[in-house]
Amino acid sequence: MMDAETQEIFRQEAEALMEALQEGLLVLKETPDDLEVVAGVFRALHTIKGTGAMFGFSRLASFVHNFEAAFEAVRSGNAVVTPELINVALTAYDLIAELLEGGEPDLAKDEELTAALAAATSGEAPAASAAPATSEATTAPAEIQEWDLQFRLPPDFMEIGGNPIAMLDELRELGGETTIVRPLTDRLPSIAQMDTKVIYTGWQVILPGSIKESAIRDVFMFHEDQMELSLAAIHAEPVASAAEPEPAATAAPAPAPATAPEATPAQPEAAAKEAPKAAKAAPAAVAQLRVAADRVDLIMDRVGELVIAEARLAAIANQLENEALLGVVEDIQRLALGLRDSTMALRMTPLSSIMGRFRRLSHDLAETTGKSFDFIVEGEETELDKTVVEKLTDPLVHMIRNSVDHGLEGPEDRAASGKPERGVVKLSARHAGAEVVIEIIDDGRGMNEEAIRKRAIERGLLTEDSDVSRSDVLKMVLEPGFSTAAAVTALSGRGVGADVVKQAIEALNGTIEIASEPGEGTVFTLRLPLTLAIIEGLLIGVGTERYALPLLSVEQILELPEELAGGTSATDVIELNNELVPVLRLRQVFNPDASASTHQKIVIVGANDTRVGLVVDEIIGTNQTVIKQLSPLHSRLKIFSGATILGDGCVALILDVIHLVSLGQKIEQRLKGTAA
Amino acid sequence: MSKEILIVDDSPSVRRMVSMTLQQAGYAVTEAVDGAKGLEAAKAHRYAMVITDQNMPNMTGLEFIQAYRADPSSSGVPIIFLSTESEGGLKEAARAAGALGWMVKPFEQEQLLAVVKKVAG
Amino acid sequence: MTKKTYADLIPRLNSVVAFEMGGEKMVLPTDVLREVLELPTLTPVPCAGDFSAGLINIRGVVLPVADWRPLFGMPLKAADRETRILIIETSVNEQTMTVGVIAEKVHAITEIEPDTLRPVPAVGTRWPTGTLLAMARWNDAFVAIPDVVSIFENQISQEPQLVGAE
Repeated sequence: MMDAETQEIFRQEAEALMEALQEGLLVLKETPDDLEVVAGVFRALHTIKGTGAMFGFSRLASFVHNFEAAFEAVRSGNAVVTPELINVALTAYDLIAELLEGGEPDLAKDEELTAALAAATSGEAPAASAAPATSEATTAPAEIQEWDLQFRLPPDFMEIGGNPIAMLDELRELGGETTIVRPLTDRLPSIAQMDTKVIYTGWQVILPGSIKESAIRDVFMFHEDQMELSLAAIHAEPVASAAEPEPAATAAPAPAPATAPEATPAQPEAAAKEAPKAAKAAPAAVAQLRVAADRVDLIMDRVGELVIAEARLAAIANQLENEALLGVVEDIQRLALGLRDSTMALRMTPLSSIMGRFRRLSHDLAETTGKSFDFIVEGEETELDKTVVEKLTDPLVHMIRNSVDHGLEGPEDRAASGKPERGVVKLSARHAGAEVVIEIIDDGRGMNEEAIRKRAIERGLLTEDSDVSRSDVLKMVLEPGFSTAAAVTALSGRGVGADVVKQAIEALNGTIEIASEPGEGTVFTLRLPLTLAIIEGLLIGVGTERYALPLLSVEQILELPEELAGGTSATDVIELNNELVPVLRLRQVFNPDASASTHQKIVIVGANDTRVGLVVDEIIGTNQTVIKQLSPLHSRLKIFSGATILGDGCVALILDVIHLVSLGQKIEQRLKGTAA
Repeated sequence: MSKEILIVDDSPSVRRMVSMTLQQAGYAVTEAVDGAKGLEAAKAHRYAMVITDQNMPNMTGLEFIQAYRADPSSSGVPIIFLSTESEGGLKEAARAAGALGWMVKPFEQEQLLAVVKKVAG
Repeated sequence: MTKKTYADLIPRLNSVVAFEMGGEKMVLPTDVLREVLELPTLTPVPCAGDFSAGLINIRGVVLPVADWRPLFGMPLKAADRETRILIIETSVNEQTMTVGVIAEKVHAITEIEPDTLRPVPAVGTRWPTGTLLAMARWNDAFVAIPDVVSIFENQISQEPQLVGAE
């Protein structure tokens, strides 16, 4: 039964619980008195223990049991949350995470942490291991021949769904063939007075003496306090039976007053603490559905097909000029686009889903580096494709670590420069047109351009006379081969674990820029294309072929200016709004032999707050561009981000704006170089 | 017609385990993700048996039992609640609230089946 | 190449598609052949290199089409009524790839006698090294058996050249 899907369900649940647990511990560090959060931590631990045990994680379950005990002390007010407790708790969390992944760390760790947890919550009563107190009454040395059990079930027994027959069957099973069952009918009222829901019959059951007393009592354990029960041992020797020192629990018919009132006051208290649930801590299990990513992709593909088919239908309908048909086609178009929007939202997930990791990281960094800073997050609700978010985690961890390690100064240095004692590391995310922009900002010491340039030259990454922008010099720190451990500190710059960051961002078809002011701080800016499967597209004609551009990136469309009309070079430049904009003649790049159209246009596209103009032969129109990935045979061509199928069934390539823009920048630099 | 069991537990793993175990044994299982949903389900339909966890957000198992028992339609419907051994006073409270029995977590499939067989038949 | 390296190839030879390009006869095992199509509208991919004939739309799927004639130094005969596209599905670099290959003529689905397998001569042939698995005989003619995976691997790793704009 522990099939793959069940394992997966458990794994996902465990992940969510661990996330909530870590989040709770971190929040608790800031607000140690928040009992709601304590309750949340407790609940998470409790569930991890219970379900973990069910899925075979017994070492985990017993460790968490101790962890729980420490928090029980906090919950019950016997211990206070201290930063120390949280630190130990976070280490304990790490052990749990390791165990959940199937790791087998040294057993000494479990004991160490348990002791540390206990110490951090000193004053707590040792967790009462509430093993159900079995009244293992020592059977009298004299051998028991048989048991005389007499009982009356609680008055509400039927009401709560009890089944007296089942009870008797259980006793018969316990006692075996020789069991004797007799009804006790002394309390039967007349039929007229009978309440159908009440059992007036008692029973006497004679069981063999070999049966353990506890086994008999266990049958009724739950109802012990609400029922009448007498259990007498009958001995072989003629011994006065009745006065045996057996704890024959004969309770009054009324629910045993002793225990119930104790339970009752405790319960509203517990209820009160648990009732106002911290809504944010609890994963909204109600609202969520877990779906395998490839199922969503399949739906996405089908929606894509639908959009294409709808476009073809529209094209034909337009030709036929049939009113009725056009009306229906419009409806279908609206529905298809609506479906597109809903489906694309399925793959999107907010950055907040990985924030837990960053918060934990900054907490750990503060501990290990001794630097004091605030970790601020802005725009964590910004949504990205799920796979992109996952692939961003490592690079972002790297960059945050770097900002703290190398960017932020220690308290003395900060004081010396007149900066506030607490540094700031900020992670901000937002949508900008067809991109997602993520920034990591610190108010630390900034990067030393000269030192980096020098080092880059030493490393052969730059030549003495390379004319590169300040930003490009700073980006040298991302190049593999730039830094070794020793170099990093000497530079007061960064060894960014280049491979991780640069490769990851490139794999996501994104770009990274660095801006820095020495003494003031540094900003890393990541730009990633929104990987939507269907976008609004602008169809253009270049030579004999058609291409698509993401409409969101199109800023302006102009008639081709006079000065460019006759040109035949692939690149050029124009002046637009007092700004020089590099220009690419697409026909020259794609198909120089084709003849120009008479009404060429320039399409100004933008990304990165930079622009490039594309000279095209024709503006055809807009469409819903369903993006089809290019095969490995063509995917190295960064200038094309994919292909699409047009209304007439032909394939058109989709132009990648980010790469066109960076081509434009290269053109600009070259022109500046030659002009100088 | 299979006997219908309602499981109220916020843990997807537990619900999954209970559903699969009982369905294989021929019962029909309805899952509720928390006490409130469980209450809704229980009031809307008479189940042969209700199993509820204690440790849930928004409404604990105990609160669920109390709320359900307050509804006359719960008359005669057995409720079994799940608890871990450390919850001492809980059993008495649950019994007082109207549970028929309890089961310790973690439990094995066979244990679950035995209890369901005994209580729901 | 000795006979024993053909161990993998021999079982695949009992069903092959025989086709022609640049005047040469060639065969490919049908275990990589998805289908054979007439040439639909081809959308060229600029700057992709001469192995790329372009992209086609097959039932809503965009497939790349490769032209092996430049690789083998063959003249690019214009497409005519006999031109076909062989849709090939194979695994390259641990990824499944579906690619169309232009064939000037498709002869038949047939089989190759394993005895007729010969290694590709090391010198003096038009076939660049590594592009063929072996040669064989069919219908009284020599036929070449291209190494599809190797050819595609090679084409994938070619750096694209952006004309004019560096």
